[in-house]
Amino acid sequence: MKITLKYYGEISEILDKKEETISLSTIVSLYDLKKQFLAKSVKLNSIAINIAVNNELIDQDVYLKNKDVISFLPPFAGG
Amino acid sequence: MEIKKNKVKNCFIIGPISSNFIGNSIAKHQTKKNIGAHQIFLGQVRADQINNKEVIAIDYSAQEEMANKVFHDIREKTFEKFDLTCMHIHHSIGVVNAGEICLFVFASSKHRKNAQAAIEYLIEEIKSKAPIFGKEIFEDKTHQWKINT
Repeated sequence: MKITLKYYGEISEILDKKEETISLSTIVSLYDLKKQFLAKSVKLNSIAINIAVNNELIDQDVYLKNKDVISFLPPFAGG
Repeated sequence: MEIKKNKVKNCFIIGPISSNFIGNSIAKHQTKKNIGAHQIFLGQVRADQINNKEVIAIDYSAQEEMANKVFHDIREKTFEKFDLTCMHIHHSIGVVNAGEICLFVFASSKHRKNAQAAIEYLIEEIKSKAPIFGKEIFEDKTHQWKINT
């Protein structure tokens, strides 16, 4: 299955990309994905990250499905 | 009767929000004569001094799809909580220089207390829930990422 990862703000700056699509051969949970994500750079560990699956903020572990879009969001600064 | 749900609108304006835009928005309400009070909040980019460097601009970005949905939900909730005639939310995206307007929220009601309370409520909601990101740019072109506290 294929999932799309989208990066915003400081996260996008650290990873030097806005999005990528990855292929998964086994069933992966969101928290597994988050661990892999955090391993990409030590700098990511100092950011309070919110994660959205298909545009909904998720605060518990879920299994990822084909074509899911995962948004990695740094702290909000609107207003 | 089927209740028609309002569509999610785009609340983002590229660059600063001009006084012209704000003025026109006020003028458009002259035909709505059941309104007795307008409450407006304008967020302006502040030239903060951080480690002896001055912020000259904020470059805003957002998860726009989510942010527009958040604005929509905040709008619906605010209408449920307060007796308002109308309400508008506009937020900048892209570069806004210090001294320029980056947020314009506008609530109108028959009497002032509803509009005042609604604005208080919705600014807090926007700051805590909208996935908007701000890169504070300093005069020497370095930057840091803003975090709402």
